[in-house]
Amino acid sequence: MKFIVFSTSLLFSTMAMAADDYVAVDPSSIETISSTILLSVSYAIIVGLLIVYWGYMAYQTHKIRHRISTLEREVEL
Amino acid sequence: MKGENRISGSAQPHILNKGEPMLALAAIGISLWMVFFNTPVENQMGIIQKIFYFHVPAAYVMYLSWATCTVASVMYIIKNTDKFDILARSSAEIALLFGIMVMTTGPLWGKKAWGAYWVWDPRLTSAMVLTLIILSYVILRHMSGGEVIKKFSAALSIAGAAMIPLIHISVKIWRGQHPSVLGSGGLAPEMRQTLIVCMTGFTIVFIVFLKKRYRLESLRRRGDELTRLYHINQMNKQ
Repeated sequence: MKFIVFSTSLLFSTMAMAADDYVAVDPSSIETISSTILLSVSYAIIVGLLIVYWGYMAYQTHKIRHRISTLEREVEL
Repeated sequence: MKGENRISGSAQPHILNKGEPMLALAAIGISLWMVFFNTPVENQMGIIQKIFYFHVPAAYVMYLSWATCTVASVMYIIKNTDKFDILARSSAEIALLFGIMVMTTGPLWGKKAWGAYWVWDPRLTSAMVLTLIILSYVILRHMSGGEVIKKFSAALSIAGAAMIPLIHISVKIWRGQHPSVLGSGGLAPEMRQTLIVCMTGFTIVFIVFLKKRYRLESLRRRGDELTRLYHINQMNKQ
């Protein structure tokens, strides 16, 4: 989990720095770096939540399908 | 009895369902590309302003989900049909997901804009109240699936819907610190374009998630029904 959070933050930081616009905002200033970290964290939270929720739904659907198949057989017997 | 109990393939994954995650992924991917590579940095706030492109659509989807929940709740009270209750429960959970996004990204932006993670601004406070109402609804639904809880949570959803217009007009009525960019014409054309793309992307994500959650809830209820039938069969055998 920590790895996912870290790598997602890293990804967004890299994307932000790769953007041409970033250069225009004086990359050396601490203000810009702290803004980039906050921005990365925000996007990591949003994308992370979407992935986690999708995973939760996929897992629950798989589990319930398995339960239904088992119950169907049991009820038919 | 045998034929009645079959679920006619509803437990089997449909081939079209596999494309849905890809659609949601593409919507988010395009939105990210637009935000980071196709939108200029705002002059006053700098790069932190880019939170706006996901924060605003997340808030919009929270409203959309909760409005869907309210409409489905009203329909459930009128028609007393299970499908509306399933829709209400599914959309409420999605409203909570996007509510959490709004309530976490907002303070991160606020730290840079106002120097504090939280201020008791009318819009922030009313948005927090709505998120807490949604949370109460979701907790209530997890406690029990009884008829009384279904009706009570439907009423809670209708009461909570009053918060949506209140959040929207709170900036104008109480003149808080929260900016009101939408509708005021304060956005550059490139920024407006990116915001529209992100809004569309989030709407696609909402539809895909709602479909998936609705399917899960339907399957859950089918599973509960089969469990009940299974226990009746076991009792009859004894």
